[in-house]
Amino acid sequence: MKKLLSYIVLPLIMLTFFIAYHIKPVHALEIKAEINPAQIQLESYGQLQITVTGSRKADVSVPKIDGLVFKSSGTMQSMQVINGDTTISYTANYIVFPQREGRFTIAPITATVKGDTVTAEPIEVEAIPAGSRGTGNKTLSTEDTKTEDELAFLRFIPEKNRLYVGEKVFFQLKAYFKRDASELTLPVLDGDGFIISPFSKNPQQNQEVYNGKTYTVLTWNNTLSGVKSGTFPLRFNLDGTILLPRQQTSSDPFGSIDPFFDNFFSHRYQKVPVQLKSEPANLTVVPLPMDNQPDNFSGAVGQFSLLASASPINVTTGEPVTLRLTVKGNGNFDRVQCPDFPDTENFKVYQVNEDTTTDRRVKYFERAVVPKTVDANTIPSHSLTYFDPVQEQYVTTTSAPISLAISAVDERQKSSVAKASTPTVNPQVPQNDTDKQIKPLLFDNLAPQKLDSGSFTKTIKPVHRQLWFLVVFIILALGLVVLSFLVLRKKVSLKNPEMQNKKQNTMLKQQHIQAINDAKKSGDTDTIIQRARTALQHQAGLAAGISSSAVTATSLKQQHHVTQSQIELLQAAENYMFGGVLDGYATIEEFTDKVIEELENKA
Amino acid sequence: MNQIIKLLFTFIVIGMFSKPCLAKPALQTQALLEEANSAYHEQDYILAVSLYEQILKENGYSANILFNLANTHAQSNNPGKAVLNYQRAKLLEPSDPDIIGNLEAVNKQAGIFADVKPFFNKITNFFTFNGWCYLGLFSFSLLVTAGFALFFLPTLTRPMRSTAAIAAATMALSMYMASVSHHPYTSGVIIQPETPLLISPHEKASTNGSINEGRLVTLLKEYRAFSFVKDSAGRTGWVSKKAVEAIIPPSPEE
Repeated sequence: MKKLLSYIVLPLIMLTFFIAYHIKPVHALEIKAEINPAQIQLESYGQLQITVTGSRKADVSVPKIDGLVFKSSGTMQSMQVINGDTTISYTANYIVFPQREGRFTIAPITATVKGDTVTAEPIEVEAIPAGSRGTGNKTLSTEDTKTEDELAFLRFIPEKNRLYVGEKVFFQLKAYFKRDASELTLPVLDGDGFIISPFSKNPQQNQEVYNGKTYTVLTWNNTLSGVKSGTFPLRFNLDGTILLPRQQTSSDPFGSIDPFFDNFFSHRYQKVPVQLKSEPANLTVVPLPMDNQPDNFSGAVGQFSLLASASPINVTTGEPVTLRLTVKGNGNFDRVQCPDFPDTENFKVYQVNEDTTTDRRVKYFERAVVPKTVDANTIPSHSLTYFDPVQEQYVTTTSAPISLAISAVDERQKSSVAKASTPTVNPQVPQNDTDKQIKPLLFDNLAPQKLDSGSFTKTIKPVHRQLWFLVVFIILALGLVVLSFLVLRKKVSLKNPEMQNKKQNTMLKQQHIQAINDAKKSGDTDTIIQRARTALQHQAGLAAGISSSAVTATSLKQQHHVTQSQIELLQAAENYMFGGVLDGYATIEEFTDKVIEELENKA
Repeated sequence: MNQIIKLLFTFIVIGMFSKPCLAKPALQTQALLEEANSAYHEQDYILAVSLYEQILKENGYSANILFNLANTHAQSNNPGKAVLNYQRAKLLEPSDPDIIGNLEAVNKQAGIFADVKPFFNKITNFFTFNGWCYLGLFSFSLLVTAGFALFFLPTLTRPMRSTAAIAAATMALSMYMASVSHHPYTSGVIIQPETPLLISPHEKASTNGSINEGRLVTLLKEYRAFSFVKDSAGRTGWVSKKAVEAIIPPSPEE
């Protein structure tokens, strides 16, 4: 019966659900719209519910009504199976905020499903003054309810509305919230032609009075710059949710409001998604003047200062000096480039490393310069050209020159350094070779060339990649494995009584054989026979599972675990001991050899 | 017995830490070297480089020849190649003061300054990577030997236990130190000036900055004509294979 259930009934149930879920709706498309309550106080809100029956998905269109604001608060899908009749539906919910008093007709609300359009009946809604009692049984929420625009809004406050291409303009973006807000995204720029720095994830938060009302304000301080000339609209968007009190239905049949229950038991809130948009601002981006634009202008716009420093300043020719240029100020530091080094004749100049502070107010350029001659006793001044948007002209700022104390490399010191690093002197280089040098050496303090080739190796592979190392390692690893196996085996055998007994018996047999051989050496026949008999008794006793002292040739004849030769040998030993005759064996040696052979075979 | 063990121990230690058996250079090599050195002193660096490279090609690698080749590259303003060959020479002769001194001078000239090494690095540098490997292998062999002795010679239990414990500890330390000092064997040197660090292995890919010639980078992987590298600042990116050369040169059979 259980098998029947599991193999037939359960799959049938699952199939039913599957069909019910995937079956196409047989119902025609229907749309129903209702608003609750029909009378909404100003500074309050109502809920519009649009239900499309016969489809899981629909494109719902709510008309724009002057005096009403609709905000989507989510959608819902449902399926009902009643008496085998499946009904599916799609519900779109909106929050309705009245902007002024009056009666409004919401029509036509339409929904489109796969090309088919259905239209809902018009809905009447009335906006009444705040504080008045509606005819419906809806209660009003507390005094804190406001229209959405007053509950939360966004303000974009630029430092100025006219800027140059590349100029960084400071702006503030302030998000005002009357209610608790959550799930806020970072502001998003809505506009072409501008670049902004990333918004901080931790904006300033404070209380601010605006238009006579107190708000919680999130403030982002940021900069923007225009990338092309022209006038462009600019706004910011920010998504989030605010907490609004639910519209409560009074349990009082007379429609009265119980402040106690409203405040302490019925005062529940719901999250309402909102998208805040700042008022569009038109910013004008003007191009940089082309007249009198210096050749070395790299696009830096702002106000900058330039400072140069060098270290060390007491050097010999050929010794590097670290030159550091520091540019400070406000502006587009990404376009500030390192000024060219003016004197490449007396200095050898190396590549520049640059770094900018995290607040992007200071930029460093660091490079090594090497004085080639003693005449290179001054690092010349550097120039940085930028466009100053305040003065509206190009400005060139210059760093002060830096004096260096340059001394030539002492030849004696040079030779002593060479001798110290290499004890031998290059014999094949004549002394006057230095006189023949036309160009100065790039490095005059290097340890000299080696005169012998030294030892060669075919590879400079690390040792662990070389074959011999791997072979030795594998052998040792195998040794470790073998050792582990031996240790393990020993431990196992110590714990196994059968193996332990076997080992002890083997040892005992060896002792018996040794004892017989010792007796043979002494030549005492009685002792030899006695020891041989004891050994045979012990061996036979083990095989038969009886005590060795109880073993006799006669008793062994009834046992199946002993051999005929064992019985014969034991019989011969007993005959000798009790009768003094060694039957069946010519000599005592022959007898003992047979006994030892028998013992060893068994061992 | 003790004498035999001591003698065996001495042989093993000498064998482990001695330099590999190396072939003596031929007379022709010496003549080439003298010619190359002459070219160097006459500032004919192109000839000197070709002669040094010929010696290396014919005989294999030698710290002295690599050092001379590095000096030649340094004087001919190729800091990348100079650093590369100094690094190779340093792997063969890690404590040679000439190699260390010249490498520092070239780095300084190229604006490459060594990081300040913490005390731990000094311990790591007590041996080269190969030295730590030899010590690890020796400790391993000692451990296995002590293990067998413990098993088969129960009378030596006490000294063998101590030996095994010391060997195991030394082996663990060597393995750790070897893993820490393995860096030069996975590194390369940038040999072209201002090598762009590309974000993807294509010539037209955008750059993530550039790396100065002579900088050491870790070679992580390869894709066609590009190598994926990481520099000392932690930046990663693709560079052309022509712009970077591994410190461990490919062996002739590879």
